[in-house]
Amino acid sequence: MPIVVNDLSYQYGTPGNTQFALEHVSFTVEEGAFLGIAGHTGSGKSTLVQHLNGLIPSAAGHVTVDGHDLGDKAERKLARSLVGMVFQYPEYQLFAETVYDDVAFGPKNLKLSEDEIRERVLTALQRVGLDPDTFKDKSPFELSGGEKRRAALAGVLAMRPKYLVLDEPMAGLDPNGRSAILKILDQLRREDGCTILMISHSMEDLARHATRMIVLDRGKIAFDDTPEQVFEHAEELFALGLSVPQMTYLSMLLRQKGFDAPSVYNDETALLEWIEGRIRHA
Amino acid sequence: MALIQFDHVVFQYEESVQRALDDISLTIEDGAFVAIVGHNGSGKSTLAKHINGLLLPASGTVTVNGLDTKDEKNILPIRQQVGIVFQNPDNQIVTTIVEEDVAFGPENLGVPPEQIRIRVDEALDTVGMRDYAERAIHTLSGGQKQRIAIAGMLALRPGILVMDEATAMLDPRGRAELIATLKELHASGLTVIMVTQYMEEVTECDRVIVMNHGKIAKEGTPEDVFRDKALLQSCSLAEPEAIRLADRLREFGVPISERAMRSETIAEELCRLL
Repeated sequence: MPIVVNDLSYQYGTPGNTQFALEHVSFTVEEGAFLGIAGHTGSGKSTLVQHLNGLIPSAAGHVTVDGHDLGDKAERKLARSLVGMVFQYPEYQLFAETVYDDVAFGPKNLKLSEDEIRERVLTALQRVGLDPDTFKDKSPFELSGGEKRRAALAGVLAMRPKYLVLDEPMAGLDPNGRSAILKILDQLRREDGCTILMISHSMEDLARHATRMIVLDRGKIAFDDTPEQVFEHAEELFALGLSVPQMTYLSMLLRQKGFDAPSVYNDETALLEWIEGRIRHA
Repeated sequence: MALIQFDHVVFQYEESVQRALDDISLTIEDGAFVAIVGHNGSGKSTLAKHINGLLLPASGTVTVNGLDTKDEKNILPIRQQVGIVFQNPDNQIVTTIVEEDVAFGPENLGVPPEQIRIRVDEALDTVGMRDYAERAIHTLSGGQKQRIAIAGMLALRPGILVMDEATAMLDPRGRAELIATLKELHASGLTVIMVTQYMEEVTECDRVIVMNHGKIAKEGTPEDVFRDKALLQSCSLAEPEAIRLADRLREFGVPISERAMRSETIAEELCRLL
């Protein structure tokens, strides 16, 4: 069953002076998808994802998770338990004395048995590539930036969410740290069947990893399609304050100069072959 | 002229077993546009925090315009010259309304009120946030808050602006606009030091300092650095996507020059070949 967002609106401000952060937003996230969420700063991305586990109660419209309405008091708890949230810079929320205790914090609140907690913590640490024997007794503050981020992610995974929502999970990480996170997300989706919803400003990452993309513009959905289709609209994306993968951009520049270069978004081979063919026959 | 000078600087965090800065010597000239890059934990932010005396060397010296950061009476004059913008805007915002936050620094320096108005308006124009002057900061997005933090620094009119991964929360246009703004400010005399993970930004700088485990692994032009594939590998850096595409074109026998580090330049060269 999917996450269904139906006619969701959200306003903020003072009476008589309100702005829409979200305006009549509707979409469905199918189970097993890797949904990329893009949009300029202030487009409503973070506001939107905070509705997905009821952190912001929906004032107008509905969000249901596997059929459970987040607006319904009785169903909210169940719906929330299905959705794991990883916020911007989640490592700032690490607090416990050891990595083990930090990752165990959520499962402990579920009143699980010690064995079950232990199993969940160790599995989560392995999932994020932190060897339990090396890391479980360390202080979270001894870890490197990339390791801290992964420890924070493990804390969310230990809750065994069916849907994992991440708000710019790679911001501030170096290239190795970025690719480590992306690899973990791909594995979670393929091997554990976890559905991923990821906010990112990196068009390259969205092009390579998302199965579907939503582009927000001033609180409304501008695109809801496959990355391949979305990146066909390069000029419109630039107009929305976004960009496109460099290979898409290069192809766009060549087309603007009158060449019929093929459109590419996550594999440049077709473009390179076209260029090579043109030169060989020139 | 040497504006910033590091002379055999060593620094170690209390809780750490390794030196964050391990015998760093470097010179940054007045009017430079420098990128500092390196993996997480390489020491690049630690280095940036030494420039305005937020951190002091355990041994060695840092001087700004000849002023030693270790001398307490130099700290205020140094901080009037060096503005630092950090990664997370929430740690840098001090008030609740946008224009008050931008005015906070100049007010503390005793700038006359009518001058403050001018500075605040100019700084907000520069970051494209003038329309938000009277907005409550908590209603802004992360990227918008970061622009306010940058405006707050610009309102202090520093001679040296240090961006410590300050573009991490910006969207592609925000990042492009900020780089354009920094280039304009640089053209009018500002010395800019960018600590960054975004290799695309590095190609815009005149000089690159590559940090690796507390030491300087290399100094050179962006072209020098990105041509050195072994260095990129050993320092956990990635080449900009446009350079990767240029490399692949060369693999396909297409003669793209090593100078082409941006898609625009590659497209121009291709137009002459096709």
